[in-house]
Amino acid sequence: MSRVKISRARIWAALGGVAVIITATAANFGIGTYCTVCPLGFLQISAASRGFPVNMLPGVLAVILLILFWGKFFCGWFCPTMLVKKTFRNDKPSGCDEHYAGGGKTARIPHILLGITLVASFIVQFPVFCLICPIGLFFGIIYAVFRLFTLYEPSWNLIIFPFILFLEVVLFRRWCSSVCPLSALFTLIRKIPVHGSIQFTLNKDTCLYFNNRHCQNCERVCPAGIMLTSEKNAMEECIICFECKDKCPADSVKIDMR
Amino acid sequence: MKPGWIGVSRRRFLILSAVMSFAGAKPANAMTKRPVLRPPGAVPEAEFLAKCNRCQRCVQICPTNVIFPVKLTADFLTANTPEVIFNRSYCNSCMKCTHICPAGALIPTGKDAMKIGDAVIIKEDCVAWNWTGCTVCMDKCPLKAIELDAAKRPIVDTQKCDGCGICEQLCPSQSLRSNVRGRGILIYPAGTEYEPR
Repeated sequence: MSRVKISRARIWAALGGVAVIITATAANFGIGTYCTVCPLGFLQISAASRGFPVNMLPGVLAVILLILFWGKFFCGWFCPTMLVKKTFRNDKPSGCDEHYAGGGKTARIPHILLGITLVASFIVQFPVFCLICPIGLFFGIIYAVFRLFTLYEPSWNLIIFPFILFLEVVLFRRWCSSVCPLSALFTLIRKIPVHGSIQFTLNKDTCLYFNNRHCQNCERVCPAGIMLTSEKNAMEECIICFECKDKCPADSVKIDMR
Repeated sequence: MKPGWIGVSRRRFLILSAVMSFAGAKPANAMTKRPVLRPPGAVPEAEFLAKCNRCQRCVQICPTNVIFPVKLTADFLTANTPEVIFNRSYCNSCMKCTHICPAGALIPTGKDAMKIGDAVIIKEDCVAWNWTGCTVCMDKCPLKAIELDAAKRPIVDTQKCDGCGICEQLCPSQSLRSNVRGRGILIYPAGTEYEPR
């Protein structure tokens, strides 16, 4: 009997999130886009306006709580960037991010960019990353289409936004791991140890690798480049995509809450 | 040749000044462009840009669909922040957008204190000013902020006008006359210098 492939549900989760936001727009129900609860947006506008947007706090705190327990689930399940990637490039998971895992040279770049983003926002008094954020661009395209049908007025957004998004996500393949400051912020939050956060571990009794066979499938398919078989794996990078669990031939990847 | 006291040679100085005068000429030219109209309760523009997180909640909740994200081509820095466009709709002063804004860029004010902007009559394009007979904006204004002068041409009382935009939405000048460039009455942000197109 084949196992249920949880990772396949991700694209539907992301599409569902977008559908909810489009429905809210059409039904004049103000839930906002993901930007409403964006912790990076919160930090940026706090820096830019030298104050705290108090009304944003409940949503942002809820998101931080979720990240503490479920890590970067947003990256794996809801980020529209994932939809764009899945549409335009059929990534054969080949461990292309191997530089990233194990603290390679590029691993620090997103964290440095995160710092630069916040300092720049403070100096120019303006949320800098929001301008080029792929999530904002994605919804910008949707609103450009809305504008087309409500104002009967096309705008250059319809061409320029997809172009920038294409440049960022499709041409620059490693955006998520090498640039995205939002992802870096999630990683930083995840590093705070809490009891009961989700972890993927190997059952060493059944795992083929630990029984002297060549496998390491879980590492090859991991979009975050986590080395599950090594003791020192960077679990804070995990996007909870379940690819490792789904692709394990011996069903040895288990979920731990600890 | 030895560079002058600012360390720039004459040739480079001339090129620089030509470039800078070109750059300086651009904003003056851009003044004729209509400034972005913010939704009700908006904080001053510089503060607005710092506070708005572009979450589009105001765009979503507006029951008359009058709020839109600013186009990228209008200004790169303001892209995706909200603006009010009266082409197809008007503001019914429900103030929902001010209550839902999470970032503090729109501050809740009472309906009476609402001020999106001022209606400005574009005399070249207004049917009554340029020709004769039209009183649509005066008839439709819910605040009775538009009156007729002795020659039966509309005049805006900016004290009463809250910029709801119903006059701009309903202005029929484009359908009545063929030689106008746009609507005869437009909302401009209060207190801005404008040039009537």
